[in-house]
Amino acid sequence: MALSSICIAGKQLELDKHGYLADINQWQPAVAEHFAQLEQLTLTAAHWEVIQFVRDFYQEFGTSPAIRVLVKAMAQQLGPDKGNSKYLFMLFPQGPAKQATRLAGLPKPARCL
Amino acid sequence: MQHITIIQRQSPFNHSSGREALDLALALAAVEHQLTIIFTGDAVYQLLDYNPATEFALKRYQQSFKLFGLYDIEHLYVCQASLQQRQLDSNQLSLAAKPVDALQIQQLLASQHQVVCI
Amino acid sequence: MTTFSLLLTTSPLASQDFASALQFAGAALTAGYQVDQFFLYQDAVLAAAADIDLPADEPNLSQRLADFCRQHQIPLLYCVTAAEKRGIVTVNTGFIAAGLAEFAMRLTDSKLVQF
Repeated sequence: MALSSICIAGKQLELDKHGYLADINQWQPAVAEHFAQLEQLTLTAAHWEVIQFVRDFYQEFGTSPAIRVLVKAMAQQLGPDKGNSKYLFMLFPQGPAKQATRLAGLPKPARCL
Repeated sequence: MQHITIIQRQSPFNHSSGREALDLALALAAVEHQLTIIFTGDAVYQLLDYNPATEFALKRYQQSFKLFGLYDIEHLYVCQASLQQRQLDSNQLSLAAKPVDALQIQQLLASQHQVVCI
Repeated sequence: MTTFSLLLTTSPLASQDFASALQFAGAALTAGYQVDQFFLYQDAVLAAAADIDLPADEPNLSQRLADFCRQHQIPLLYCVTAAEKRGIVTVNTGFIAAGLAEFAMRLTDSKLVQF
């Protein structure tokens, strides 16, 4: 069922077997919008803030954040109003770490953490 | 909550053990265990700065050591003798791990509930 | 009463660690202690593979471990991420997919012994 590629601005971008972008360097905002549509999300400024946050997280730590650490890191940087799982699940009902990292073009976070 | 020490023993250049030990440490810390990590033997190489442009065929996980702060992992030690044997100095390390001698390691381990050796 | 968590990290084919762990667990149970969990991490997750095919004269330590855990109703967990990285998707009966987080939580009341 997983797509093997998506078409962004006339270019085919390859996906991994979980449907995440195969090459993080190919990311652009249109990728997030495309995935959002597939996952039936309407992106708001709040969504973009989380997408940017997980991209920065990956830059800094070299890994996709799992849910626990995402909550903690957001609480530290953006305050408890945003750094809590209720807020994040409201934005990304299928799982904030899972969905936000996909939209952000990052690898799927480890299942076991 | 338990006091758990993870002993890192493998070089990052020929083995993925260091990465798996790191994942284990983060998972244990995430459920509020009090973690200590000791780098000994070839694992001291995990603490060296590296040139990010160098081609390398194993995942570079050392960047993720920065997560220790986020997980409240503060007790980081490096075996002084292992550094000396490899002609390394503690001020060359990219992570603030405290050099300890054999006796200090012994005392550290004796104070822990659990020890995992990877 | 002391309860034990047993952690395995090596391949069941490459060493006798599984046999040692089984011996330890057997002795612990006989002496009246409890074993809370077996947790397979790193190469030890290879034991969970469904299609292990060994000649009849070689000990199948993975199966022995699964049988032991079933008989004594001990949770036999493996790290699902470590398994996926090694291509293990279809697993043998008795092995339970889990995360490191679960291992960490179960550890709270028991003594950890690593093989």
